[in-house]
Amino acid sequence: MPRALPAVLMTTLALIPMAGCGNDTTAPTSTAPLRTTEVYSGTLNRGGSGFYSFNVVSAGTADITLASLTNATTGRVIDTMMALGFGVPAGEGCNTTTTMNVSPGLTAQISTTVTGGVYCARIADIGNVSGATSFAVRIAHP
Amino acid sequence: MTGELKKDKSMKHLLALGLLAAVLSSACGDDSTTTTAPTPVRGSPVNESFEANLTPQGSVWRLFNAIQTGTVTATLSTTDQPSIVVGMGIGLRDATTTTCLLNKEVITTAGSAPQLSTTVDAGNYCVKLWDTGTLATPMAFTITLTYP
Repeated sequence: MPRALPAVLMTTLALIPMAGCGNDTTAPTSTAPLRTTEVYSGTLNRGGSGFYSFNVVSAGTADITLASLTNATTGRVIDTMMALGFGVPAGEGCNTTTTMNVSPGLTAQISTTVTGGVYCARIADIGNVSGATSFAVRIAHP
Repeated sequence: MTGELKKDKSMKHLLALGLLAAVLSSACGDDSTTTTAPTPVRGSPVNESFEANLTPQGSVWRLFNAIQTGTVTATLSTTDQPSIVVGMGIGLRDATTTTCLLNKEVITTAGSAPQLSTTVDAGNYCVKLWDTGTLATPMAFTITLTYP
């Protein structure tokens, strides 16, 4: 019994910190919400349109940017307006809730609040496309 | 002899207990944590230059990352063939296709004033230089970039 006493004492003492020492306030930590950036690219012809569906995992802001329009043959930049939309997939299309006519830029043209779910971005010619036109739409979302 | 061994063991136990008590006493107290603002990875804006060679019929592009909304300027500052005009553009970098999707472009010679300027959101971008068909030999150049 006397030989076991130190071991018992040490075990007891080792358990003390698990019981806590009092003021153990944990400061709140803040982490930036994770965001995903996707690039929807393709080619449109006169009168054409296309859309891209994406999955939002938490509430936040979705930013849609028509970032690039170029001649599909020459690669040269085209500075013209297209219809850019945001909405929810419906059947084989995109039921847009927001649509704007925009020129290519590198800042978001559509910013909208979203909750978790599936949404879509849509691009369409409004009569300005004369030939095969490559486009790139950036979609940044939670 | 046996008594000395027992005494030695007891001393070691006492020493161990003393050390443990010291550790425990230092662990107790005000455990509140002070939060500090995250340290920026880098400052903004960034001014940087890069040098490379543009080959006839070729193109060169370079990536950069904007950490916040702000203005990007690109200056084709020097070339070793000052009379040659080349194409320079700024665009979106597509990580999937690893291409530079141009947003703005200009056909230009080297100069001290920015030939391209645009506003961007945070994200990955690229600046591209290409031969418009006038280069006969490789051209050394320097592009100066400013971005947020």
